[in-house]
Amino acid sequence: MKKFLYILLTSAMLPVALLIVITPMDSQKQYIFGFISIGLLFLMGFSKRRSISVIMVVMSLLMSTRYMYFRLTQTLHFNSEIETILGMGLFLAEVYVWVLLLLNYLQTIWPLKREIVPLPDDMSLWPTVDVYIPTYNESLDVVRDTVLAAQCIDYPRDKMKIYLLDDGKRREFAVFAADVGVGYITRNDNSHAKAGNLNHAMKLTQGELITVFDCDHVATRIFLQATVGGFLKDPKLALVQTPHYFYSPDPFERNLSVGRNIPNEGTLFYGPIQQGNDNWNATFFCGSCAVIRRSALEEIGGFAVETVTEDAHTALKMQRLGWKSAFLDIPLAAGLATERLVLHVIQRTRWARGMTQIFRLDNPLFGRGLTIQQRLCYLSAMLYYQFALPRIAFLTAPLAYLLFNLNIIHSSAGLVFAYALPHLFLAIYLNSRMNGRYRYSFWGEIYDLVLAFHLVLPTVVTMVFPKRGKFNVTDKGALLNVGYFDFRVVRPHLVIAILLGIGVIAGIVRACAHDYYGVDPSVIALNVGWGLYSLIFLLAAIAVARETRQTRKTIRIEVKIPVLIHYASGISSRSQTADLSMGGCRVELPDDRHLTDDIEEVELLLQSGAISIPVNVVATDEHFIRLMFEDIPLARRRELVRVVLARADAWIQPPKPQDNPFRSLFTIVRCVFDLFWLTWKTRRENRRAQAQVQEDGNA
Amino acid sequence: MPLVCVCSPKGGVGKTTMTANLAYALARSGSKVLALDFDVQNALRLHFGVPLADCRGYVAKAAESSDWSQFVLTAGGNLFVLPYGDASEDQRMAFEERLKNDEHFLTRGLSTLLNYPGLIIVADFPPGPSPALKAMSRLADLHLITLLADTASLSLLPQIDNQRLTGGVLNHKAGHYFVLNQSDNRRQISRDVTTFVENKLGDKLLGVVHRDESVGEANASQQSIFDFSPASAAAFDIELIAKKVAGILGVKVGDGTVHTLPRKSGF
Amino acid sequence: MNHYDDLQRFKDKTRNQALDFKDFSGQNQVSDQGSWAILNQLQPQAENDTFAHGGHVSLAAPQPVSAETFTQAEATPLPDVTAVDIIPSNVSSIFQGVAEQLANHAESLPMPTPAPVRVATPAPVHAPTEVNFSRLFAPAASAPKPAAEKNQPLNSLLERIATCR
Repeated sequence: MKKFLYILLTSAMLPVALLIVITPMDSQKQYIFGFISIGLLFLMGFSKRRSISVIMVVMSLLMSTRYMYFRLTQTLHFNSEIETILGMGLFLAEVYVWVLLLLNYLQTIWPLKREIVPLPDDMSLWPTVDVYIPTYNESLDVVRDTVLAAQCIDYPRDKMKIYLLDDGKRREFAVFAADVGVGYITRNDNSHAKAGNLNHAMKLTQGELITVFDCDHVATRIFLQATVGGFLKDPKLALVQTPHYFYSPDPFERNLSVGRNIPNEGTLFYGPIQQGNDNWNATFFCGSCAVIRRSALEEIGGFAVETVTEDAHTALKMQRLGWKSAFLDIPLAAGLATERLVLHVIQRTRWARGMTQIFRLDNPLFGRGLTIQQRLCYLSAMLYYQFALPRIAFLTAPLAYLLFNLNIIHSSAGLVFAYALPHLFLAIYLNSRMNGRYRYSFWGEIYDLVLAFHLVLPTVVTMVFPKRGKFNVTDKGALLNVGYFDFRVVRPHLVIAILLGIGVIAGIVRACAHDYYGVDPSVIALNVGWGLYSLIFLLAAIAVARETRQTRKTIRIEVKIPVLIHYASGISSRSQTADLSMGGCRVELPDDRHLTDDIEEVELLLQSGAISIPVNVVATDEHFIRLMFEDIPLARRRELVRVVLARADAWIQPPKPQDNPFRSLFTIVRCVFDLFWLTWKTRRENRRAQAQVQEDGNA
Repeated sequence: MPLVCVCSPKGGVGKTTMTANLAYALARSGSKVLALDFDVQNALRLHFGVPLADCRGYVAKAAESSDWSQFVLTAGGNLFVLPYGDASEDQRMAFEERLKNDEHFLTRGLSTLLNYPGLIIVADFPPGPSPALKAMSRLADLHLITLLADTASLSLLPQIDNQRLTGGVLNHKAGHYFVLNQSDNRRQISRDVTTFVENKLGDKLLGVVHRDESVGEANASQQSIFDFSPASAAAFDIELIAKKVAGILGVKVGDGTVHTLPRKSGF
Repeated sequence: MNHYDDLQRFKDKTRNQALDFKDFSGQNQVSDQGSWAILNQLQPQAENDTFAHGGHVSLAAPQPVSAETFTQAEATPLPDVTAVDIIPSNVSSIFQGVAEQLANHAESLPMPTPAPVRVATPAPVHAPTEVNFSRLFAPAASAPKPAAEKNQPLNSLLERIATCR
């Protein structure tokens, strides 16, 4: 009955929609139409209900389709070959954006907020779990805490086995595994990198469930008890994926002055997108922080080895065979973000190549076993990675007019703007409304721009020749000793930025003397505006290349944990931490005793047990004292991991405040301003420092 | 009215210190508290600033006087102490005789105090079974058994289950709870005993007091641990125990709220 | 805040208070705990832990003495007396006394006494003319000799040598 009503509704609305899309209007009417729709949107915006969002999505799609129809039917007239090429290029880029918008709406329109499925009280029913920690060339310092955290997972000891899968076949790793009491597996070759490593381990182990942690992903103690329940409840469930939470800042967070105030780059994917995927049973496997059913993996022949993003491909294969997948939106493990921009670019290049490979080799649109929604979700992800060319097209389009006086859009500036306004406005507004806590407006442009020039070649080449190319592992854990500006990474950006700058200036000049030049001021205004818009984002993207120094190897976590301060005199005082890391902690000073009495040990008080660690004083001020942990044996280090990294609530943060597009734009402008300001400031400081050194030398 | 008996099968576990600091903690949170000493060591008074040479107390004249409240000393604010006092061997023996033979000897002597509304009495007893403990146990709302975090104390746990302290059920009202003193996570035995006790006694373990030199220093200074060293780890632990005691007794403090027994989650 | 209860905080932050997460943190810690005789005896052990009871493995639990232990016999010179008397004066004859003792008692010396012997010997060192309390603690000539004490004679020998210095 409901279905019938829906069909009736849609078929009634269809002619109306068609009318909205194709009715041509002149500039004035279109402006009014646009403003009415924007007004309607604001009115509806007072309601936060999801059903209203659906209506808004329909409105946005109608406006965008109207714009595309307008472009298609009215603006594709060119005067020369070069204009045709550039004009069509731009139009195709807009088609791409339109398709992606549609797919994105479908993907995220109804995110699934999954709950934890509790495990039964009878522990004999709990399944056996194998925990795989694959590693290749990462240092033991990084892997050690991951293994210790895995040992802290609350699960019956006889039902959980941990294995260190060492493709580097390093002796110190073997010794470590023996010391700490976990399994150690190696193989004779290194074929198919991580996937091959995992497949090899599968042959030697027997757990009903398999959990994979990247070598830097420390699990919280609650990981298995929060994820395994679903497998018992639903025998067709093959995968439970949890978010990749980063406790170290990514290049955007670290290098941009405002980096820490915005939701980070991964939040959108590990929030609305995966939740949206989950609604359509299309959750992607992300290679780590997930639990997979062994029988499902065996049915597909193990982890997929045909592409460089073996994780996404593995999930696709399982879904083709009818297995279900789930996404639990609670951070149950945390890892290290890519340290530097260049590493970020390398990582994303691999993802782009991998997704393109899947598109070519195992296209989700074809083949059996998937629902239409699953196909569209995968298509959305794959098409997303083709953004390089379209982005560059958008970026450089104003240059065609500003520098070369080419008309690539055949229409008056006013009319184009009238059609484009509701199209852009609704899309931005709606994205802000639906995803505002996970990604602030306009930041997607910056993330994409940073990568755009680097992805052109890899995606195009892989699209044509899917089997070419090597797999680079992302380097994790190296220390950045000195700040510098990574010109290498942003060279193409700088070139385009300069061109845009020139174009904008040229445009302004011509606008000021428009009578002399005989040009339409509104066209110039449009192009200059567009150019400036692009320039701002480009400069923000360039700002990310300003690598700041990372001063310490261990990451500090702000948390208040009760501590006992043990002094040499035998006195023990009680206080709490201000921050905590694997290397030390900062403690609130309860009194002045530390001035006269040595602090020997500090005891962290967790409900499940206390741990006492010998310390040295690093620094002190009137309110806090910073202490460094001395070396402790492995068994105690495990307890320290339990307190610092494996706490069940360690990574659960309140979401960031809701987005406001204007504020977001302003933040980005501030970023750009800070790029120049901070660069100038550091230069000045360096000059002063140099002058000081010279003075000292002379004196 | 509420009466808390602090006792132990073992000596030297810190009963007296516990009694005194518990009294301080309860007084700080607004109640009127009387610290009552049944131990011939007469050490309780020292925690309240009574000079060493001061030998006032109730035992010497207990047999003759019908109301012992006249021997109570004030310790500032709403805190009071009734010291055992200096007593000759004959006086002590007479006191114990009366305790053993006259069922109502204690209740008569302490009746004014026992019936004073809102006065919490915290009583300190000598180690092991004693006539005073036997006599008071019928009246006590709560027994707090103090032990050290070592095996010597632990080995006497069975004596409590076997009713060796009074020859019968220890507490007839809210029951008996345990407090573990001088727990030090850095020392193997202390750590193992603490874990053992936590697992074995569960909710019956009211609190664990960390080993802290401040306690001894506070004693030496004749001050409460809270005044002497507010940041002391032991002070925090004792404060927590006092809150739980108040909760068990259903004591309404200050603003009239009743503190229910806090969850083990420790919020 | 008493102790940081991360499980509770997790439940609060994710609004899952109804869930009952089990705490397995004791699993790792148990292996670090020592095995102490007194604690073992206080645990309600399921298995038959006769070995967990009592003191050191090499020591048997004290048994009731035989009737003649404290009867004042005139004839039997308790071997320790000679050994003990000799201690303050003549070092080399310790070995003599001990050797005699070993010869007299072909099997082994009764064991629960290494400690008491250690305690007893200083007393005669300081007051050799007083009543010999060491006699009370001397190894009984006919005390039951539990098996598997191959190391005992050497131990008490070494102890005596050590204590007389």
